[in-house]
Amino acid sequence: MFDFLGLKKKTDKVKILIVDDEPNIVQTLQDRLEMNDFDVVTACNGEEGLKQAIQETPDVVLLDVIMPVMDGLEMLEALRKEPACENVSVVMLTARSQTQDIARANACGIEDYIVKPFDLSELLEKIESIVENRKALAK
Amino acid sequence: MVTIADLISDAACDEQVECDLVVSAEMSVRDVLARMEASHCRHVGIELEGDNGQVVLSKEDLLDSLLREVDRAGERLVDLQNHIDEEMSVQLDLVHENTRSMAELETNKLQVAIDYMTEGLVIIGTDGKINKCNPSAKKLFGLEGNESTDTFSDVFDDYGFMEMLTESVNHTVDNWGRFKMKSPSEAIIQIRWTEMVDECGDLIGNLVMLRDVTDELAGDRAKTEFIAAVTHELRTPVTIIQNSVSNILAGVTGKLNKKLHGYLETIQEDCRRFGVLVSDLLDMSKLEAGDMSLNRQVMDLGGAIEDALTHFNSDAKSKGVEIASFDVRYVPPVYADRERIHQVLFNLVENAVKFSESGDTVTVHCYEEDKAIVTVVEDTGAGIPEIHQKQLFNKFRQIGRQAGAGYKGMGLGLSICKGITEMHGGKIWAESQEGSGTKMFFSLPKIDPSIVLNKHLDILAKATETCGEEFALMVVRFDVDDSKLQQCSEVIGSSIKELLACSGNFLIGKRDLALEISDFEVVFAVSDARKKRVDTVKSKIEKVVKNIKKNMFNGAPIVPMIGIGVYPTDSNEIIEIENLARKTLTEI
Repeated sequence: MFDFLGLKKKTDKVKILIVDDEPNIVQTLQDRLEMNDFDVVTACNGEEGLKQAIQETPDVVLLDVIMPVMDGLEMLEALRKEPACENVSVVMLTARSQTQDIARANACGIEDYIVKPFDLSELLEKIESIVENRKALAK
Repeated sequence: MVTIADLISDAACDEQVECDLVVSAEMSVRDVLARMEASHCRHVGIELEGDNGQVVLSKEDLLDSLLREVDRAGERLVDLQNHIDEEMSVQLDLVHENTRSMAELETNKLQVAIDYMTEGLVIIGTDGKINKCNPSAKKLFGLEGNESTDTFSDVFDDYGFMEMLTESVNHTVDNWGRFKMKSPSEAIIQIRWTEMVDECGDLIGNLVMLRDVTDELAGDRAKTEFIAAVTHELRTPVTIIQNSVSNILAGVTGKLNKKLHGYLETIQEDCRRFGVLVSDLLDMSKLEAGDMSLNRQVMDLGGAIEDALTHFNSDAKSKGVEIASFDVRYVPPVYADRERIHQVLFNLVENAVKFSESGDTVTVHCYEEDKAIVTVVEDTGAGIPEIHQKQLFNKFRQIGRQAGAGYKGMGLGLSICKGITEMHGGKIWAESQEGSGTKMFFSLPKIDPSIVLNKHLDILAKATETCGEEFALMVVRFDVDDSKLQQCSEVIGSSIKELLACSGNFLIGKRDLALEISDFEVVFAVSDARKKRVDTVKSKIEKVVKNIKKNMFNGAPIVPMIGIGVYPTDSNEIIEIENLARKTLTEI
């Protein structure tokens, strides 16, 4: 049966948006997250990421910094101005560890600033705890 | 010695006088007088050479001649004395002259050195006026080297350097003093200053050094940019390898045999190590280029210590090492870069655990000094041989390698820790005895609580702009009649300690802050001023205070009060919020 009217109960899977210009990183993250039963959407630069974020309203965004077209920090700042995305949890995943970048990201309200390379298992734990906090807050 | 011969020329040749005694002309007057005395005669005859008859001398003549001799000796003595005096004064003048010219020479040398040094040098007196400046300083400000100090002083003032310096010297914790700014010549000038004190330790002024670092910075920036680019290029592929291996190990590709699993774990561990290495290299290059910037905030040092211990808890447990902290909840907040201090703590705790064996303990505690808060990471492990202790903080030192504990690394960790603590105006050092453990110390400067509060409120205010949140400021005051303040001060002191010790449990947010602001006041900054949150914190404070009141006041006339101000609802001036909180104080 097709769900023309969107009546069917929406999936209660947690949705994660990965924004990174390196396809191999996106792929490895996506594989692992999907294995752990997350719903994954992806984008390869900030501009596309912003569109996806508004359209898909993910729970968590994993956001790279250095990307073509629009970088991660610009996207983050734009994201916080979108009413629909105000409460999205953001984790920065970047190869840049510049103090100014971290401060700029922190000013926009982020969950964590993780410098590559990172441990995927630790990242998963981090995401789980963010999701739990979100659930607790929603109640 | 005067002889008779000397007198003969003066003596009269008197044939008439009878002489009882005849002597030769060679005899000394004293001897003749002695003989005359012995033979009671008053005149003496002297035989002249070659049968020339005889000269007669009376006793008085002889005595007279002796007296004259004494007078002459006296005169000579006076002459000699005068001569000596004269000679002395000439010599003394010479000495004075020499000393003066030597001192002048030294001063001149110093003056020449100061005039020709490439760094600008400015001496500012305790009155805040410029006493002295060298030509290099003038040139940095676009003046000729021979312009007067007054002109320089005006330019220095005009460009706000003086204001900035006074501000920095008095109010920042950056007292190691180095920052850059644009001068009129568009050069980037680095400023360092140090206090000058006299022998008694009294402040006599500030010595300010100015240096043009424009070219240096351009070079350094190019270097760091290059390293940053390289690290970025290295980090991305290693992330992909690490993620892929992690996925395979997690079963994304299906089941693995044991051997493959083992190989992949090795790859994963080495990727992790590689990542740390890349970060360390980047940090080291930033530190060397003076390009590591700090994102200072008011931070809870005690909490950071707890974090580090929690992080290494499982590592320690699996080795049979016990780790614990003591009384870190009482540690006052510091003004530092949270991430960097975490890095230092993690490094020190990691080392302590690594070099400990089963049965050893690792403990962390803090103590307060006059101007610093010192953190001690102590272990009962292998200790560091004395010959290695000096090199401990040098680059590329890997003391543990020979210990064979399987510890690999480049030995950058401790020198990075040293760089980070020094950037914060602190120090790092070690005490160790081979076989009985190591104590690693690092200090961070203490800052005035009111400055801490202001800095923190500024950050909170900024956050309200970007995130639209409000924050609340609560003031808890232990009021007491002035006349009884003395006798109550101890009780108030321990009440404040008690309140601070408990506040860790009920202030939830990372940006919340509890701070002892004076001897009888505690301030709580609650980063999220939603009513529910504020009420929770308030009721918890009240509960704790009531408990303290019951147990500790013992009838002392202390009145605990609480007041609240909310930013920006009540006012968008931070100072007004503080005033409001103090104005609305009501008894708990």
